[in-house]
Amino acid sequence: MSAEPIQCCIITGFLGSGKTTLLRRLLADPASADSLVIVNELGEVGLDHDMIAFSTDRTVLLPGGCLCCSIREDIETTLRQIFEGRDAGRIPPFRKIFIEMSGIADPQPLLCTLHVNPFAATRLTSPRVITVVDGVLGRSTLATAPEAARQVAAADSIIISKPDLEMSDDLSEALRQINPWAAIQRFNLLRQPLGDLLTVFDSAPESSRPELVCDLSARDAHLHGVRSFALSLDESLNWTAFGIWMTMLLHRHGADILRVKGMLAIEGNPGPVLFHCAQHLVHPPEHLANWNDRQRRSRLVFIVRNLSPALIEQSFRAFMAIAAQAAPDSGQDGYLAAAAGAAVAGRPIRRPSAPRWIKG
Amino acid sequence: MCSLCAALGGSRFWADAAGHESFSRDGGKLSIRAERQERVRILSRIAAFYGVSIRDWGGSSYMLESESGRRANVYTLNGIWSQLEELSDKPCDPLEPALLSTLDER
Repeated sequence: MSAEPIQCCIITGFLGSGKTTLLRRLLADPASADSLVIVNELGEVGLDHDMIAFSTDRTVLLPGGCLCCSIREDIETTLRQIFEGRDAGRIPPFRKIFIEMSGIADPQPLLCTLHVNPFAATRLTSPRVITVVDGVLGRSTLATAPEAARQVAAADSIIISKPDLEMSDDLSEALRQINPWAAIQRFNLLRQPLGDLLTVFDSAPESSRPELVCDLSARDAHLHGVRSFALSLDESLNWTAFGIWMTMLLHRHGADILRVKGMLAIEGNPGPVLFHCAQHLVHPPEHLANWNDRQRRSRLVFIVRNLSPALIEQSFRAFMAIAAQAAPDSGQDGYLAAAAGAAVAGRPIRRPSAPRWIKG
Repeated sequence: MCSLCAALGGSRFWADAAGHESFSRDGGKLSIRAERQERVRILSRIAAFYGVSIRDWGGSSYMLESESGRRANVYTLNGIWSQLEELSDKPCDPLEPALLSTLDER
């Protein structure tokens, strides 16, 4: 059994956008010769699965359901079968896994499953999401299908297909409004050499860190209530207050906080702390050694649905402000000893004394 | 490892800073006690809006107590919000204008 985690790439995009074409191109290249493909289709009979089978014999189908519906146990079952099959020699060795999602699936629950499921988390690297957007129909699809907007929000990279036929001039801007940090490139899936696309596994998701691409102005235009905006704060943050605020925000609005990425200046920390969450799933914060030539200030970029940026900012600043205030002099530090001699609600805590037969 | 369910690792909550090399206070590591004390201090300001008090119960859990004397013991920061809702019969929403104006007043 190989202990090295397998690279994982999720390919998503609305129906007809070109996901399968992209996958077939990637698989046809020698660089992807040792890849395995998991295809998820909504119908009982998988057609994409058959099309991809022309490109590789390492294809697994997850038919009859949509990967987006919930945290799915069948993805773990499938992964277990795949790894057991590989270890037993039934499946040829592989170094990469592509997961092609159904066209109407929201990638977020799958991402959540891959991050929190212990088996997937230990066997796979952090998945990278590529969203294919139809250059011709993409703009109208974003306007009519909420799933398409969520696919764009989850992307690390966005590929606009059919650029030779592209008619909507403002597609890139619409994509930027939903996802300010994903790399966007136009790509003719049928003719253009793969080139940079072959590096999909090479660059870690951290490469799209917020400070690299996002612009900090609020974006007013939004689709299906999905919008992105940025908060910034010059003062160092109190990490405890930030944790309290974020857990409370995710508790109440987690389903509508599609993604948050942040570079935070934390009190007592010489370098920035990178924060990343998607809905209820918060990634472990990452600490960088120093700010290099960047200005030391906190920046948080949100992709939210039906939430007011102004209210989120007001709430964020209010919570940070109470952290900065001195504690009220209540004569106690909020600590309640859970030991004999203390009291809860006026009742003393007692520990039973040793019985006589032990005392002798 | 959790001694009850034998689950390995994964118990560290993302917001926990105590013991982490990178989070420091006054040049040293942040102690668990200091972090919990700070957490209770801030949480108390928020919970007061819902008529609930919060205290650190023996350094291992949080004791929530409503004005009517109902109590709940919560072990994680994440779990506080649902218990706070139960004790106060109000949804805990950090975007609620009434909460924000109360925090601003103080």
